[in-house]
Amino acid sequence: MDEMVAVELLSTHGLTRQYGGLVAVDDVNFKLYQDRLHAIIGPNGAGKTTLVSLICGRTTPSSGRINFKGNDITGLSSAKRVQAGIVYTFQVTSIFSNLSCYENVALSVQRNLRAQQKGTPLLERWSMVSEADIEKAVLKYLLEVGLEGVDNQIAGTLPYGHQKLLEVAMSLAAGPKLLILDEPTQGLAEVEIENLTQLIRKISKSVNVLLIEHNMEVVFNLAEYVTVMDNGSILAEGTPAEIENNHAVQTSYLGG
Amino acid sequence: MALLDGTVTAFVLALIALGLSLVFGVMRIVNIAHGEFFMLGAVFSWFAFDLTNDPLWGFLLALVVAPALVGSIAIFSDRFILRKVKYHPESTIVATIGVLYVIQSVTLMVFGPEARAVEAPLYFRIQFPWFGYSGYKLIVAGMSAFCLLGVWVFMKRSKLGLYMRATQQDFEIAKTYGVPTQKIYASVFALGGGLAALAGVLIVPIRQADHLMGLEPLLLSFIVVIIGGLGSIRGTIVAAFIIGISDGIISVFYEPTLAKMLATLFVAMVLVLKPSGLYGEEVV
Amino acid sequence: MRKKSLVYSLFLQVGILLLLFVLQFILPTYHHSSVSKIMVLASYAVAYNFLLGYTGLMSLGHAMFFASGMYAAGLGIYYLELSALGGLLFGAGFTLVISLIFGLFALRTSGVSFLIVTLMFGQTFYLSILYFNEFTFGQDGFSLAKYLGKLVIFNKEYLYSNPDIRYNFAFILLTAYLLISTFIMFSPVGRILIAIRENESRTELLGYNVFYYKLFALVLSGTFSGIAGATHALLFTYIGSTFAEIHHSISPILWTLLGGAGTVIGPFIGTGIMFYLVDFISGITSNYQLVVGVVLILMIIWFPMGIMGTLRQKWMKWLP
Repeated sequence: MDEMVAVELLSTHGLTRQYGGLVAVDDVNFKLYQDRLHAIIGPNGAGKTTLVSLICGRTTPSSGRINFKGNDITGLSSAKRVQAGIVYTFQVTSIFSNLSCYENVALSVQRNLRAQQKGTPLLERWSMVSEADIEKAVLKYLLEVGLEGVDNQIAGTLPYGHQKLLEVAMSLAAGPKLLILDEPTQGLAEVEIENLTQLIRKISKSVNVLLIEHNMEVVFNLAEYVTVMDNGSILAEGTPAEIENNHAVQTSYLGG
Repeated sequence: MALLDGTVTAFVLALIALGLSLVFGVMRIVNIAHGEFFMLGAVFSWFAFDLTNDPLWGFLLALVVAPALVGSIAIFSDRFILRKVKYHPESTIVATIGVLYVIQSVTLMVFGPEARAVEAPLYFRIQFPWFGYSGYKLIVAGMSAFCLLGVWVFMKRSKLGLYMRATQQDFEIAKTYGVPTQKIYASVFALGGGLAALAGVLIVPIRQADHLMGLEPLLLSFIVVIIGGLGSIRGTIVAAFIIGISDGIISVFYEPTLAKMLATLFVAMVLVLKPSGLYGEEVV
Repeated sequence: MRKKSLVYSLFLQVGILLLLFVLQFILPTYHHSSVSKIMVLASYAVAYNFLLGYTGLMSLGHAMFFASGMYAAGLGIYYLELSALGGLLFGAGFTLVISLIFGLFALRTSGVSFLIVTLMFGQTFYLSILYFNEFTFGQDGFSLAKYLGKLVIFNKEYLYSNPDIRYNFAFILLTAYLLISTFIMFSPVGRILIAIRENESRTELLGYNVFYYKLFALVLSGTFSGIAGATHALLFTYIGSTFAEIHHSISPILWTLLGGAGTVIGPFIGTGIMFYLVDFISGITSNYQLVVGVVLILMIIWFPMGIMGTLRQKWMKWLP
């Protein structure tokens, strides 16, 4: 990885979030570079999910700024951030359980397809993307995550592992520049983890991936750069190998 | 004198609103039929009066029996209706609207459409320097204050009160600690209904009983609970005083319709702009 | 699946509408006017269903919209000497503005708070009709009959309260609402509204500005309720404050839930059943409120999905 031409995609400056007396994220300066699969690890309560919530807009910061592709996005709503390309999958899978898998992905697809029609007047845009276009895209994304054939099935009836895949399909369909996966392998069987790891690796070739994980094996398999958080701050950063050998990290987290 | 009247109203309103607030605080549901519990208290009081033909005994009988009866109706509703809809917020609202219709119409059938008066148990006047004032009204205020204090002590000191507060804080955690949450729900609902019924018994010598009398207190207690903060006892009592006294004063100067209009609009804006009311989701 | 659903839906609706159209030539007078009324009220329910069944927002103040359409039309005709059509348009426009303003405030809340806010605003509206009685004649109500002109079709003059005119105008209203409802629900916007109902946070995190869509649903629902109200004023001529009372806000909830929220014809079925049920009970006792209460309770416990909803779930998955 040639550090010299690394392009910064996302950065936070002095980002802080406190709840009453508790400081969940403490003056964090986090940088994420393009084309580098980045993982955040740390013990429970370290502030990983809060940091990521701040990045995707689900929570507003107590202070600090967030930059994405050179623009200050601190004031943007979460919907606008998705439109800008930051897409988040929930720790506990959040899909439309009562709707069919097709509808689940279609909802994401239709917005993205329409958004790509930028430049044409708003009224025309609605008609430029037909249901046929949407259908094609939906089936493509379902295929990509390995879920062919389930499009008419009700999403809630899928096994948990497949629901996670569905959520990944929905996230891909939203056209992300930065895909944030919050503990994607949690609750999955060994085989499913293997499957998902390969999928993530494939995705990361075209989309920047930020991963929060507890499963160390997955982290060392996938991540090219790791940030370790503890008590709301960044404890250490580096390549997986560097982190593994880092003394502070070992004592506080890896139990070394 | 308007000030004193307002104070009495405030005390009674506080009782009713407290019932509503406790139910919302612990069970997280809105009971649209709450005003009907108040009305039932008043109506039962009339029956007690009719039965004993003596204002004092009738009053004492009603004081004990009415809250118990209404409490049982509440427990019944909780068991067979609310539990069945799993306390889902919108479903409970629809269900309690149904309960309101049922209670109101059954009362209409049994009690009749006219308003009926009940004599006060004690009749004496207190001479203030400027005017005479009904002693009974002061008793009402006193008894209400006593009850409010009682509830506060109960919630803070007793085991049942502790269970209720725990369930309010976190239903799941309370369950894992062995709190019998189903029974707590039933008890809270019964308590809420009982308080309203008690208020009804107290108020009926001052104003007559009729099957429609539950609607206005319902609206007023809504206003109180929202401004005071859903689920907070202290807030409810403070708000009840603000509303009760200002209602007393406003109705002297302004037409009741306008007053009600402004009050409902004010409440709506409070909810929109500051959803947590005065005290927010504070516990007791 | 979607296309099939749309086709079945249209078939079903066209079928029912055809039936309704034909019915006017067969029905005796009493039922003839009952069905006319049912159709207008059902339109109100269809408009309400748009917000409740599809977007998942329950409002306890919708009578405000119905009544504002009714009063704007009525008072517009009375004071401004508008034509019937003018009254209708005025009613629609006025309600549009009201629902927009209301939505901008009320949609900042959600869930139970939203419910209470709608209740409070609805009450305020009702009270203001009574308070400005000199202007609105709210306390006694008034009849529009003297002030309405006559309708001219093919050089023949008709009164607006003519039974045939009533029936067919109500019919046109219901048809329009059903078809517009279907069209929107099967469009991309409909998909978004359903998604908001199913999982609002997910929808937001897929890039949709949920507030705008909710506002759209509210304004559409409100305005259409207002148009139903204005039509009611024109066809049945009586304009009274009872239409702004809270009971008139609870009614569409009852009709929609009974018939099935989230289905297209559910509201119509629900309105029809309740209308005749109340009618029937009123023949026996004036205390029909008891029946309504019991129905509400039984329904919410055993059939929360309503008649069409339960049918859809159990047997006819394709029902829209």
